[in-house]
Amino acid sequence: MGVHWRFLRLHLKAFITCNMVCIPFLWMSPYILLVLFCKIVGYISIYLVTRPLNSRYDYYFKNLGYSIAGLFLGIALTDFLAFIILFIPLRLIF
Amino acid sequence: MLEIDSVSLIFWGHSVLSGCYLNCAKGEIVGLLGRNGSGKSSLLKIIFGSLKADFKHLRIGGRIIPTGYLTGQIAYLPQQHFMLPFLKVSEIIETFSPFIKEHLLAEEILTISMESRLNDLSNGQQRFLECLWILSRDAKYILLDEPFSAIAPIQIEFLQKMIVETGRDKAVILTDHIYRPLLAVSSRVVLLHNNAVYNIKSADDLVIYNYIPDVA
Repeated sequence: MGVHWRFLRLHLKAFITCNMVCIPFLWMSPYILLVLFCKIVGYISIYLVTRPLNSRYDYYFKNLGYSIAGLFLGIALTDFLAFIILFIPLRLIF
Repeated sequence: MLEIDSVSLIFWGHSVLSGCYLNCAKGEIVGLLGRNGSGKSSLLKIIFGSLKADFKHLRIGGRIIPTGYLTGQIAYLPQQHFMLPFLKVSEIIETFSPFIKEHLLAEEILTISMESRLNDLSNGQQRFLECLWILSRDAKYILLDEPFSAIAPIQIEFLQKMIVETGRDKAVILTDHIYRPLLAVSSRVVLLHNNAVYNIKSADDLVIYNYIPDVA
């Protein structure tokens, strides 16, 4: 029904905006662990900011057997893994 | 079988539910009645997992379940609208079970355009579609909180038929203050009163427990 896609798109916008703003700052950081810590803080912030928008999907997704927090965690983990795979090797090389 | 017992729920120092027991087996439709504030909706939310009880013992097929909805075996119709307002009527009907879809279209129950979006519909029409969507889920246990509220009589009659049909191979628990349609579809009726669940044999029992007025 496109509901999953709409939910994903809402978060992709937030994640892309956050990545575009943060990556230049993170690039300048001398410590990779600090960079990863900042990413996790960023995820918590996105979750809190998008929570009012997510609440309208709450019962819909619960009736399909999964929670909003679980879905968010899935998207955040994908972003985090993509970040580690793409960002850290580049950061170590340059 | 779905069973819940030893439920304890306290709101602001006031005990809403305390030690009540409810069960529902496949092929059974349990009507849950009770006055406002007796804890019917809270009990359904606790079973579904959207409300955390202070204590509960929920079992499905003898297995203890911490959060009902995560099993994918429970579907729940909440009192408030929950379907996403941007969805088109045709998109929602597409996801109905073949039986419901076939009867809905054949009996011309809906008098709205298939291209309308949910937020263009009246309160009752939205409620009707949401209730049918819940009845169409794959879940083995269906919880309906006030399915008949705000719905037109012709749609109530249709819903009753669909609930009875769904109840043949699923377990249904429903609660509503519009008690006549509820009594008509329920295979067993229970009343939540003073933190206890009473089995109701006839409408006279509801008078005894002061749930409905004595008209005789």
